Amino acid sequence: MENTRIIGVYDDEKKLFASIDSIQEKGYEIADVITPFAIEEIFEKLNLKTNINIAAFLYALFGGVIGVFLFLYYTAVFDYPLNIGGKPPLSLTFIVIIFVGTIFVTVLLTLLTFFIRDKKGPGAKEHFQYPGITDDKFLILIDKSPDFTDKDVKGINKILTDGGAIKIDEK
Amino acid sequence: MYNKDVRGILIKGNKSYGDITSEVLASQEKRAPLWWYFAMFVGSVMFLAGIWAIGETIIKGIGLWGNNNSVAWGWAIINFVWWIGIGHAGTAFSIFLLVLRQKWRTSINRAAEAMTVFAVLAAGLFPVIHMGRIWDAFFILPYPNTRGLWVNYNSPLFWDVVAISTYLFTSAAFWYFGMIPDLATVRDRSKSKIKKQIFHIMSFGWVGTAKSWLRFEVTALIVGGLAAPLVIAVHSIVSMDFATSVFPGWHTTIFPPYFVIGAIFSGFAMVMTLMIIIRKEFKLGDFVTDSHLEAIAKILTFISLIMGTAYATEIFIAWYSGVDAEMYTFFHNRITGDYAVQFWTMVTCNAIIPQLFWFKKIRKNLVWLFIISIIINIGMWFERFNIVVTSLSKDFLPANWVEYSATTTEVLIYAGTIGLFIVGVLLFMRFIPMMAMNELKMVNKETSIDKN
Repeated sequence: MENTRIIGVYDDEKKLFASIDSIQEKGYEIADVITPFAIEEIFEKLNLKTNINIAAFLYALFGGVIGVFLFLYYTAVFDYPLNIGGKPPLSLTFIVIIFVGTIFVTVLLTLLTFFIRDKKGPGAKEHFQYPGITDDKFLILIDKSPDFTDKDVKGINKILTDGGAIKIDEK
Repeated sequence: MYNKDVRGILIKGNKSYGDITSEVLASQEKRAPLWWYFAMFVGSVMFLAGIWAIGETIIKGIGLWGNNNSVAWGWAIINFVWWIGIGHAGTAFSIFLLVLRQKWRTSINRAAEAMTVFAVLAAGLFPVIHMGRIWDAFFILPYPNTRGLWVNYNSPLFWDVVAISTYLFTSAAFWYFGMIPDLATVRDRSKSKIKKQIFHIMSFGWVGTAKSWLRFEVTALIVGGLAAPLVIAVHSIVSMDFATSVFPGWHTTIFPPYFVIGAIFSGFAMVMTLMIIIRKEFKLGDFVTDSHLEAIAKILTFISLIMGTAYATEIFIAWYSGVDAEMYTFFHNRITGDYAVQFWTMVTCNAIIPQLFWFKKIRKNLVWLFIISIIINIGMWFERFNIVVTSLSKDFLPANWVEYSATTTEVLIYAGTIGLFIVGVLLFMRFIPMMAMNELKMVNKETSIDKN
């Protein structure tokens, strides 16, 4: 079972940034931040990284360039070389198909990687729900560890309130 | 580099994030206006007429069309290239401007991408039905079969199949992917249980955590970055259907860039047509401002100049080559002769009329913008007519010279694809957030708040 979380609700991202800084300065760990749109400053503040770009490069190289070339080579040169006007079976026209095929394979696999890594899919359950998070509310979630004393909780609440939270909640 | 002082305010009215959500979703949450039902009726009738004509073609054969031994490609290929061209702008608009960090794209990209999907669907119909025996259409795919044969990779027609199917997949995936956070917004605002459930399925469990947003942004940039060269490749490949042949008027190296720029021209014009309707009829003038439309008009002016240069270059090269067949095609079958009307319609609509956009008064006038955007698409249809019909009707052998005119079946199929497009766009306007709300919110403060 998941821990209870302390939730700070904001209506302005600037206030959210200040609260994130204060919480991190006091040494508390932020479990998650939820926003209605992408905010690059938050990625930096939470030091978030993703390897999807590296995965996409590998898909393009192995699935796309090499994979499509091998398929074309096998079918057109090895399995059944067609003689069309005496043109060589291993032809430069492969480049056109490899170019488009690489894009297809990379787009498909990159999207699949996103959905698998982020556990998203048709009908997937929302792992957290709170009014307004996809509209105009910004949330900071802090895991309420069993080690937290009342003083810790009050301290966190104070940081959130001082930072401009319009509401503090627990869930 | 993006400069807000150059582009002006992107979202008018000092809106809060909540206002953006409410105003963009108002079209779904209120009853549809009367004109929507009327347009839906007209679109559906056209679509059904097209289905009937396609059915007739499949049952009775391609003999129902005006095509003949010389003009083997008629309206079907004209319409195919026309629709693919229109379909180009969505992705071009969205992706080129995304990669170039142009923030004014945020109000327009969703509708442009939707337009792409429906236009490419319409385009894809034509090569399939042009095969005649559509039940054998899968022969074009490279799959292990009892014949022991693979397809001919040297044929531009096969490149077309690969390029267009990849383009349809990539555009549709990019469109849907970008929409997931907004579908979650609709889910969270829905009061009806059924609607909530449908959007729960469609929004893929989106919540909006920082990690999800990071992955989302990186994935969108990768897919967008890959689709950008695809846009160039697809229409270049379509042009090679023509350019790799030896027909006068077709055998030219200018075709790939000429086709790509022409496609973006017609697509941007269609984006303008749609955005004017969306702005006017759904009262979204705060999001699609005069400066958005002016930006599109300026792009169209520039592309129109390129189109004019391309037409002049083709004519000059035909004369400079000294090849009789090329000279005949351009000077006696296009500029003068049987197809002069179509040629001059093309030049007037594409190279001359859009130059009116040099006048600020016209760029700021919705009626003029709307009319010229329609004129450009008419001109672009005639461009494809010129390319396909004039070259095929009179080639090297005068004994084979024929005239071509479309039959009712061909006209109805074309009308059917327009119906498909209208129905698709109307459904999009009614049931899906017309603008990328999450992206609008992203640029709202930086470009608009307190600058109004």
